[in-house]
Amino acid sequence: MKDSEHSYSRVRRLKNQIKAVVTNPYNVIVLVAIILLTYLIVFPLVDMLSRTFVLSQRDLRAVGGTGHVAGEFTFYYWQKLFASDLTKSLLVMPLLHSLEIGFAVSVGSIVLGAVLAWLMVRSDLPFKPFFSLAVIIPYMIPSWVKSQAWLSMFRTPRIGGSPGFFTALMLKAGISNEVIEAIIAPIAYGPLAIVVVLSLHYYAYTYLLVSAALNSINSELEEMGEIQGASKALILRRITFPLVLPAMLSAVILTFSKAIGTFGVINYLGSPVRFRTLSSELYSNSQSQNTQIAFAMAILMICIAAISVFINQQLIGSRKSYATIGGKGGRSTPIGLGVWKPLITVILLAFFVVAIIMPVLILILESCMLQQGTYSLENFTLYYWAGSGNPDIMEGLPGIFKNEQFLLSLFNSCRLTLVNGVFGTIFGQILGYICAKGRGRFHGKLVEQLVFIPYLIPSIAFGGIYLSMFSRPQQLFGVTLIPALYGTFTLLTVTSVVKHLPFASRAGTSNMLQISGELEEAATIEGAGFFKRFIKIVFPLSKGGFISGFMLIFVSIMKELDLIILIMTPSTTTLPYLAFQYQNNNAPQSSDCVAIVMFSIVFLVYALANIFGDADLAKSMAG
Amino acid sequence: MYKHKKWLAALMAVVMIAGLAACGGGSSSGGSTTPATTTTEPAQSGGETTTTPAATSDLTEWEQFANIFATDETDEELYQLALEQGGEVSIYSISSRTPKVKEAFEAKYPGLTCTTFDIKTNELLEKVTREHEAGQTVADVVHIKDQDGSLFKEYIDVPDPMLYNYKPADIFAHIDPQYTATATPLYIELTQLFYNTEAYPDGSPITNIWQLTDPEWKGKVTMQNPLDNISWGTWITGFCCEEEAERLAVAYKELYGEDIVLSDGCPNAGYEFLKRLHENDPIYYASSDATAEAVGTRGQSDPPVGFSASSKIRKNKDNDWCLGVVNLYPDTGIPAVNTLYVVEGCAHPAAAKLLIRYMMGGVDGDLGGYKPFNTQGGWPVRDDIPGAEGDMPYSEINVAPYNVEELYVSYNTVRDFWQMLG
Repeated sequence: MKDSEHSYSRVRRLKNQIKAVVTNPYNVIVLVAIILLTYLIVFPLVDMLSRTFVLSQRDLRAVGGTGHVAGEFTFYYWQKLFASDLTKSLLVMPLLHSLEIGFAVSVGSIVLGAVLAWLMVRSDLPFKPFFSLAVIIPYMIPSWVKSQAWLSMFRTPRIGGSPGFFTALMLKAGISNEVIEAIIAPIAYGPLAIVVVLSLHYYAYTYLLVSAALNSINSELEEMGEIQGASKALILRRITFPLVLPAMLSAVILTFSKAIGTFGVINYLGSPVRFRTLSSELYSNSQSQNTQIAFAMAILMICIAAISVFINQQLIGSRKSYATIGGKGGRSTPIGLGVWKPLITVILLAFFVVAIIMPVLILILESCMLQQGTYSLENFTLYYWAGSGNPDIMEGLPGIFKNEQFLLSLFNSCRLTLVNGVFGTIFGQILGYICAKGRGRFHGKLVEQLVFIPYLIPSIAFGGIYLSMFSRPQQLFGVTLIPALYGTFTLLTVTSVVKHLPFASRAGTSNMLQISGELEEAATIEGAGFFKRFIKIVFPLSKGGFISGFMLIFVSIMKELDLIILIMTPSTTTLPYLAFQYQNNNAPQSSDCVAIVMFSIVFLVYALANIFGDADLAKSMAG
Repeated sequence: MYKHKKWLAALMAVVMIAGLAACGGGSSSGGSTTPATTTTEPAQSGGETTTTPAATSDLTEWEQFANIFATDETDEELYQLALEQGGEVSIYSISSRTPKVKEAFEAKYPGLTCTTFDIKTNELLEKVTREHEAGQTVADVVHIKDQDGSLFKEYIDVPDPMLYNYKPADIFAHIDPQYTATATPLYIELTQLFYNTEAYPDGSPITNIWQLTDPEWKGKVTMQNPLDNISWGTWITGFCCEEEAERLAVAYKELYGEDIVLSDGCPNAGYEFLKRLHENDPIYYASSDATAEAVGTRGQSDPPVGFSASSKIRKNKDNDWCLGVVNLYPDTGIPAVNTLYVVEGCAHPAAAKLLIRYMMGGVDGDLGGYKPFNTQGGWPVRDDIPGAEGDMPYSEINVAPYNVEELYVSYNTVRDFWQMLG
């Protein structure tokens, strides 16, 4: 009797345990997330990986023809990469260059972004509203505009074209070409130029993430240090810095991976001195239709990124606490800059004029010039904005406001960015929640790694694989799970959301790490369920991270073309496509016009988000 | 505070609902743009043709339906058939001039609608391949360049073709057979050497291609890195083909008065030329526009010369540059031929054929379909269409022999050769 009672309770215990695991919404969400991520991310990755082991029809001619057939298993591509005469020029040198750029850009943009974030959020800097709007602009300006601006300052006579501004000054001063070349060339082209231009682009990641983190810090923490007699530097180093560490490390990962993955700036400023990185080799090989080699390189870059995520996981650890959003009310008292205030203000103003206002003005000016590079009043025109098809200009293409496609593209772009921004950010926050709560545990690490993979899968490959995956209905045991999505807006959305998950989830993770567990525990005691906790507590508190995540995705998708051009149909074209079309049509001015429109939209949304975010924060503090 | 939160929540809700609605709207309209691929009516016109290469029974269902091997259909027949097949046609093109073709085409053939989509070479190929694999054929016609012959070798001349060459006999009669052997050609572009006419008012400082390897021009030749894309990769491959290499050897002897001595690892004068060109430190630019800008900008005391796409000559007017074209000896390398294909499984083959005929200049003297492409720096393939104003006639330009088979076989070797040079 007793025995059976015992076994009965054991069975029941096991049953209860299983029930507890299965009915815990957190576990269910983790499970669903892992299944979805596996399907949406691991599948494309495996597809890419397997393609690098299959001999393509194209390369039959290279391996010798006889005895080989297309589609057979081969080590040809990996061997070419790792153990051939080409290894040095195809892999080793470019890889070293990539790492060099990756590290330098990370350092540059973290320092710049963190300093700016601290000044905007914690200091008593004047003109804050203006500065905090302006500070994000560089990220919205296409990076090629910045490369062009750089060359227009430093271009030397050796490579032809009109000399840069500084070079022209030196030429006027009677300095010889050789001397100019020796002094200016190392600045004008190559690694230094690339690092500066990319840092001016990517500091936005750090700025957005760190300023969100700083916003959530209760200044009592710092004041406590002050009471104890700590100097400002010490407070910064021992209190503020550790608390924003997760945000900074997230930014490092984003910046580093982006810097090793980017191509445009490196090609533009590296070409004249033959500075090539792994990303330029990847792009070149892809453009030369050596798809498999390009995939193999992409996989290498994913591995590098995975290592950086792993290092981050080690640094963040599982025991340290970064919680700054606790049960007590937050208060933020700006820190006085003292005597440094005027100097810092002037430096910042100068920085904004040079790095922000100049490129924007140049862009606007160029969009109004009938002939490029001719600075005169007769050359001024609004044709590229609103002209209606003069056969002598742009091969008869009308200006953007007269182009039928413009409204369609504008609509599609707004729709795509808004839908993606909202959905992407929500998913990102949920994934960030999983990464933060599962910190140091297997499922947390797994999700954190998985989410990052799409970041470095080349856009064209990613788009192509999704096209194939979703062109047919997806079935499981004869049940249609997903209908054929090809040609639909839904597919555009799914692709863009997944590709940009890293932004959103990084913003989510660093944000969630700051939310103290005690808040949720308190709610649990009060009997709040998981969903109620998430919606009522976690979500509202993560607003800062939500907005920064939203902006990162929004801007990025606004500029996206490579990824979605494969999935686009003539009725779903977007603004970047229109810009590409004008560029293709020898009309860079109209292309500039489109860029300005895109930039304006992004700016407007950012301003709105800023105003709403700030207003809400201010009110909640007052209440 | 409470009020404000509510406001924000409401705004969020509106955005999300709008998003959802947008999603929904997109899917329904998107769905309708995808044509049904299986409108395979029995091919009534199949029997009429005289020049099918195989017996009708060997043809696939689509090949019969499309009557793709017919060469003698007239515009009128195709027009009627196109109307019967739904009156639509869709083209993916690497050129942004197709919208103009669309306008002219629709005006000439009332009842037909043409959809155009321009996209870069690589993406175009990827898109068509993926769509075809998935049975979602959207494009009926593809306009692209078969640079290294791989389109022919991998998509046409295979057991299950993805693309077909449509070969209208009346139009082909006016085209040099070397361009029709593997493709349906539209027009020809070249990679040409340009110089600065302001700095060299008496004409080009360079006439023989070997001068580019002289110390005098070290670091003064602009071009794109041949590794960057398949066009430049194929262009350098052209120099290493047998017949062209012989030409280069002759040109070398004419310039220096002695026979060329080949370095280690250089099987012929073509490879030797590439090696020496590379050693002379050409300046790479990221785009063909940029190489042309470096050469053509006014006010330079010692400008470089540079290779660029022939169409960049038009920028003289647009940007006030002073580019001059060099008719290089022995030649300027291989031509880049723009080509047209019909996509396997497409739902509107008759309209596709009609559009191809129209773009190629037709037979009724109406050049409306070809006109958008007939601009400076691009040459018609047909002997009965005059070239663009301001261009040297194609027959007078030195161009390398164009042997698709040889290009295809050598492409990888030559690209790897350049990669190895560093």
